[in-house]
Amino acid sequence: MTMPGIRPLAPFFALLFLGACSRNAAPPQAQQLPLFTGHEAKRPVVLTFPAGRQSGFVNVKREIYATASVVAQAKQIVMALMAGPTASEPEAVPCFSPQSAYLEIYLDGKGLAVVDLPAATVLALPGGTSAEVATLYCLVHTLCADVPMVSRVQVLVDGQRAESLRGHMDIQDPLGLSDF
Amino acid sequence: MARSGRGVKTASIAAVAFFWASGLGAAPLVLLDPGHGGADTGVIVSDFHESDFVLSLAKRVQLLLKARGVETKLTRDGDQYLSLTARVDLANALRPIAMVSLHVNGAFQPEAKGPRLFVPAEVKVDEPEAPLWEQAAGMHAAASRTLGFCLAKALATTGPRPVQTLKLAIFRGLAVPVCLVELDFATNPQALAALTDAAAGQVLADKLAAGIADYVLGPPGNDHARH
Repeated sequence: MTMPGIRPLAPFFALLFLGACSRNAAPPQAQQLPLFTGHEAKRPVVLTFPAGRQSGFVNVKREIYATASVVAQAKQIVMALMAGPTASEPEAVPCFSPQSAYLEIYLDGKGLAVVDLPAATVLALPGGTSAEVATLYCLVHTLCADVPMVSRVQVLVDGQRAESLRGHMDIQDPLGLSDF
Repeated sequence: MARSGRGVKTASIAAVAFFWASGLGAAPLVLLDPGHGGADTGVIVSDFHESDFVLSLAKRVQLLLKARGVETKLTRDGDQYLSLTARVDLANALRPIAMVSLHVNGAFQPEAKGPRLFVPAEVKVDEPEAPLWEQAAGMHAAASRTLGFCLAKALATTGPRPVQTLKLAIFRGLAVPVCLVELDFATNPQALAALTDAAAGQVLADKLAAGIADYVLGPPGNDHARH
């Protein structure tokens, strides 16, 4: 049995199907979008990492593009933090696991930064209170130090408020430096 | 994670706890909380799963404390997932004289080793603007510190800060003295080998039971019980 009335709509359904397929694929991540053109001036930032051979933390200097968008600067900073220290920085160790990413970063303009992490990044963390505190402290300390006006960081997991990253530090409310 | 329906759940847990407690008389109760469970395995290193290890350890500690006359209850007695909120609700309903949450640590530095003990921060009485969940845990901050120091002494924890305050999710809204014990670092191969050694595991259980008994009953040989 033919359905002549539907045949002209076939291209439309095909596009609809392809659209559905693309929605089922991995969602595009904001950090894959260009955050800078490469023509902007650079500015120094200081990243905080766990100390390599002792307890505590160390600061490492980097440069980011001073884009007009402060959010784009914050994203560059978090990307650099997730990439970890370089081979020439043996005094520091990573605070995220390899291939870590963020889903999105927002700034409310009133001192709050929101960092949305995918569950895969959270699950890749080593676990344990010390590792969890190290990740969160480095994230909060770096953003508060390098992004103008930011004094608190709300961490989300897959867009949702969570009890904790891996069962320890309370992240239901924004974290400030006084929480560590 | 959402907390909707918490009131109903808390009320039902409280009712169960009331009937449970009324049948036991005034025996001191300690709530042992093996961390993680179910899909949340905690730290995984090779075939070591934190959730399994701390459950087994908690059961050993339970037996040792029973021999000392201390009643205990576990937040979970099998490999099931239990949210932190559910653990807090259970503790607040049972009202134990102490809650000890058992964990195994992880770090980005493979050299990190040794136990770490965490308790809630004190909330000053002149800070009425502090959120209610912080006030709840803060009310028992002093007792939590005492519990922490008893455990630190038993575990022979060294360092400038044997017991640290930290904003942990398990402390949120918790209205009983509590200490979260990170026994050692599974990410340190030597520490992991020591943790998983059978004899060392029994020694660890002995130390934890001694520390808890010290808090509940007072030091050995002392007739003065703390509770």
